[in-house]
Amino acid sequence: MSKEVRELVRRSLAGDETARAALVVRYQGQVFSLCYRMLRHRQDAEDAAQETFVRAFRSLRSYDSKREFEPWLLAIAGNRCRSQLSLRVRAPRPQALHDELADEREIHDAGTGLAEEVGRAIDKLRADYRAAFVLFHQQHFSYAEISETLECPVGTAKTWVHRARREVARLLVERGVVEEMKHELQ
Amino acid sequence: MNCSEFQGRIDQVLDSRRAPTSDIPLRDHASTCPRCSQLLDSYLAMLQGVRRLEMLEPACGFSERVAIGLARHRRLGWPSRRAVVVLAAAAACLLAVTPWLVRDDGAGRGAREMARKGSTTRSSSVEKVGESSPSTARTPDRAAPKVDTPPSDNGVSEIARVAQKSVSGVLLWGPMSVALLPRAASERSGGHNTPAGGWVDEFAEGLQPLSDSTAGALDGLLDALPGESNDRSS
Repeated sequence: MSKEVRELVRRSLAGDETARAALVVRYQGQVFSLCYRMLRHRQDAEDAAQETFVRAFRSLRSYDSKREFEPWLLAIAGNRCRSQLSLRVRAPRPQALHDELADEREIHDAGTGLAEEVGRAIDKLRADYRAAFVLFHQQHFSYAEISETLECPVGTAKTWVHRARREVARLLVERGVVEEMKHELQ
Repeated sequence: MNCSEFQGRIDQVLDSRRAPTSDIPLRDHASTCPRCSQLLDSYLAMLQGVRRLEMLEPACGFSERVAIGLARHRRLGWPSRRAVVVLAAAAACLLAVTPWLVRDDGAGRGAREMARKGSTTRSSSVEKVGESSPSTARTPDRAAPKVDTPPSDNGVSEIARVAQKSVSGVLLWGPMSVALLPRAASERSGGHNTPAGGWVDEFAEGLQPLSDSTAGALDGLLDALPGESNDRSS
């Protein structure tokens, strides 16, 4: 953990609101990205990200400062998302599909070309594969950190990332993206 | 290297965060195998696409919303937990004293008296019958059907009724009493506390009706209560 983050955590524990705000600004992108990738719904992802920070600050006293802050925070985010997903399974919302499609349009309109295609392929992955893939390739987590974040053995995290890669690569071939981008890739 | 080793090798290279094109065995095999060459291209496309993926950001004012959420939780933290503890303790106490409530309850007493009366009637009638005619005393079944119903009716149904009332009472009145606690505290502290309505509504929304499994478990618990055996022994 960097000295700066450690200092922010220490000040947050002392009740410093500006330190808390700084921690939120620093990690909101990572937390929101993971939540969005897991939930595929902007509003749900915002709620989950917000709840993640609230829970993190509430249990900051129990946080072991020898551990990295990021995996600890993202583990909370992962747990929140899993709870939301299980709630969705138990009580599916009739509006969910419509929202999902609207969200997909909203997010992918922002991207272009290859990134958009990869984003779309990632969205088609299973939730745990998706989370593991995003943590490894987008957030640059190690397998140990992924296993800590997703609360699974290191071997499982590795398998999830490998399978996610194969699936994304397969989808890109299927959609003809690889042929289209060949000149760019050379 | 053959095609089956190729995939594993790509994963190894990517796991160590190296570019697949920098690995000579991979490049060599891809140059001789069109299928593996396409696979390598698809992985390269994936890596480039991921690199171009933007980190998503939440809507504006996110940190302010977190601060508000945190402040709200801080206000609700202990009182709501205390309310849950108080409610749970109240429910446990009610369940624990249910058999004694039944014992002191008028209807329960009436039922027990009926049962006692029935059993004494049966024993006295059997005695009388035994005295008057030894042949009929050997067949006490004639008197039995009249007095068998009250003992089976008095204990369990009474307990179940009172317990159900207690549980529903806790569920109905619990949130209302929770609402009164902080309001009273707020009045005591000169109105500096937050209005109770918000989190009480939230708490009440969180209450779920009893599921079938919970109801079944509750029934089992009621069956196991000592009231019936006490009544029978008395």
